[in-house]
Amino acid sequence: MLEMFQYGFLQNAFLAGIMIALVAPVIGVYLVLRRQSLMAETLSHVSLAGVAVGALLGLYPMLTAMVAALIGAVFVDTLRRSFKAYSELSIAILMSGGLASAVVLMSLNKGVSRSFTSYLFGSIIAVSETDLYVMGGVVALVGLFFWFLWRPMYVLTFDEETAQVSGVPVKLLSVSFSLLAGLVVAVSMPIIGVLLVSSLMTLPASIALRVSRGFAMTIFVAVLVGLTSVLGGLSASYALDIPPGGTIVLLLLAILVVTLIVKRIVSMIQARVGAEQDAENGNGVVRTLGER
Amino acid sequence: MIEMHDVWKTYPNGAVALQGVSVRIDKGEFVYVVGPSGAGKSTFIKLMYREERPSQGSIFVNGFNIERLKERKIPLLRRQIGVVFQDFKLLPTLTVSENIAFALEVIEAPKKKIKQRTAEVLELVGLSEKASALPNELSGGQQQRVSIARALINNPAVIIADEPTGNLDPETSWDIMNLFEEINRRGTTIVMATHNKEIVNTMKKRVLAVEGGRIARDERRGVYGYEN
Repeated sequence: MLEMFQYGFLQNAFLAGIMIALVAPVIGVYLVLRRQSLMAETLSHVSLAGVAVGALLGLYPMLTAMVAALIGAVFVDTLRRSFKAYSELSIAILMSGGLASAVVLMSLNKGVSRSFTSYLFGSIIAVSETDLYVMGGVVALVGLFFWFLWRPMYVLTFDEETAQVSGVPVKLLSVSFSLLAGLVVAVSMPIIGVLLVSSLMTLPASIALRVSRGFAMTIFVAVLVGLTSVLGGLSASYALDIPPGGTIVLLLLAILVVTLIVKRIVSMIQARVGAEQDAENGNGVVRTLGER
Repeated sequence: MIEMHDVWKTYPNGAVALQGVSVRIDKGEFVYVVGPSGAGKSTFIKLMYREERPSQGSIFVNGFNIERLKERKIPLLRRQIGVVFQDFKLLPTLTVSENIAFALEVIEAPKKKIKQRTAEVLELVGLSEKASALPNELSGGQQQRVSIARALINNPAVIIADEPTGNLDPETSWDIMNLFEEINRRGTTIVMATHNKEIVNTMKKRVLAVEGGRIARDERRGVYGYEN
């Protein structure tokens, strides 16, 4: 297994994977808590249109994907406000819009063939050195954002009203966060693929929220789950010659199912132990009735 | 501490909730606000922490004229007031201590101070050993203690409680009420809307009865005065 690291492209893939696994789950936790789980999905569809534009114009696709995702992020935020009562409409509109333009733009470009599927489903040979530098930049940006703004972001996430009355610039912060999410989606694409990128954001978050107590632990567990799935998924992808995106998401789903089952069993055991203790201490039904 | 001068409140749908209410509550007082449902009790309470705005009249809380308050000064007002709700309003994914510390995170207080102050109020409400529990692992009474701790964290001059025992059984309600009594003894003004006849009649505090949008009674050592 270790001989796989002799290949430069695999080193690139793993480096990229680790960077994504560090930031995507963190963004995911905030998205899930803010009830915006579908935003990653939307932005990935929009950035696919960006890739199509890049391919058509012969530009660096990650760059055009980033631009598209940024524009998409601003739209999500603006549309969310104008359709207040039906805020999920903004998701539907942008998602279909993004996919539709991607398909049409792609059909205009006869030259596209293999590399496009790698953007759809992810590929471990698609990561270039330039990609790594861009990713590194985005990871640094995410780091800076949360280093300086974690407190207002924390308050905004849990209680937008309190944030507003406490003087947090709610609109600005909300848009900045959406932009950041857009960037992360755009750079995750070469590895995991446009169609699956949102899973790497929301699945670790939902697993972490099930098992953690408190916010700090939720973030930690989400990153841990992300790293496990990405490293495991990339290895399996190489060993079995299957696409990394699908492998990573299947691993995440497996972790989720195992988590749910283990939690079930634990709570059943706890209930039984609790009942036995009650019986030993004489806290059973009889005594309760006797007291009355 | 809290003063209202000829306060009127008409909602956009035309419903008149308050009609010319004037009242003065001094520092350190413990006041029950009673009255039938829909008589304006809730509006009266909400005006104090600026959840609602009066249509007419003026309201002062701890020296702030609520009406003239600039948008950016609202946080200053909120810091002088702790609010406790009937349904606790705790954040389900945060631990007890994270829930309590929240108000201090908002104002970017130093980490050390947050830790120290959180431990203090947890101790006061008797939940020190539950600091890292999640709200749904606690009983209703314990959850209400957490929300009282949260209201206390900024060391407010006044605590406003809107039916704090509405969701609790009688025995737990008494525990919570004794906690409020203790907080009041330490100098915090308390204004509490309640439907709990037994508690009001036993505690013998000042009672304000709101009926038909007016203060119908204001008694120093009052009673509940309604058949529930």
